Amino acid sequence: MNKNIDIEKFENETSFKVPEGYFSELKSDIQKQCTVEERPSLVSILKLQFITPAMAVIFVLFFLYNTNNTTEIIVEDNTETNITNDDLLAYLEDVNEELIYEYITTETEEEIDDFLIEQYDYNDLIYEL
Amino acid sequence: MGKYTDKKLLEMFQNTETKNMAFNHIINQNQERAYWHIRKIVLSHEDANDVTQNTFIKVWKNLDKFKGDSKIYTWIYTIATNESLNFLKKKKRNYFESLDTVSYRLSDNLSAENYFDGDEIERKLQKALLTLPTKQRIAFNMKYFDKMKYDEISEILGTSVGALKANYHHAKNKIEYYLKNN
Repeated sequence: MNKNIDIEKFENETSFKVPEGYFSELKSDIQKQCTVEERPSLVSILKLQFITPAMAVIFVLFFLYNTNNTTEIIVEDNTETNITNDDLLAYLEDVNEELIYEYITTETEEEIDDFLIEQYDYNDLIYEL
Repeated sequence: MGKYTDKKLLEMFQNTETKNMAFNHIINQNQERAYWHIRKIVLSHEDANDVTQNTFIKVWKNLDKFKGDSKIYTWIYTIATNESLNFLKKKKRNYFESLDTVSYRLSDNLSAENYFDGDEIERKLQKALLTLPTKQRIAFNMKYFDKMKYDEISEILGTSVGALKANYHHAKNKIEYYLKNN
């Protein structure tokens, strides 16, 4: 193609298109993302400046009071509580009772053996032999 | 909706009660111009839609700081140009790829673009434009398609009128050479 081309003689318009109704939708999309922040009301200012700090102080005092009471109770529990095997059984509802009995029996037998060994007089054994 | 001066719109924007109304006016007056300016840079409708929305969000966030030393629409055009360039930068495949290479790659998408119904010569013109350096292409678009005056373009791009005139003449020659030989 040798002829001279002068783009000033073109229509000077692009052939880009947009979907129908696009610019109405665009405006709406932009507006959704750009909102005026609400002016704080007198109530919200009061809440922020007075009520919220007051509530924070009350909460801290309540927490400290409860923490002190709880410590005393724990100390009492540690010195006086004596959990028996029957107590354990009562709590462990889901545990296989046979296993518990087996454990208790085994422990009891071992305790008896240890006791006997402690009590046994080796002098008697010498005489028997 | 009546027409307001830029000064009036800025005053309305500063007032919480009339801020939304002022912004609506600004969108109405500028969204199409901004969109087409962006579209000619990024080519794709979907991309232009995203960049246009980002542009107006920036307008919303920064208009209260705008000193009024230029027209609002000139200021919006500047934001739109910067947002378009930022968009192209994000499309770089790696750190070393230039904006011009990114722009040139856009021509591959032109055939697949649903919202372009130009004939063969118009498609070739767009491809020719994409061979120009990006900023030269933007300046050319503003003069050739948007029919803006050189001093307006100078204000938006921060380039002197003389440089813009030389730039336009050079760009026109390159495009005509491309069309003649392709």
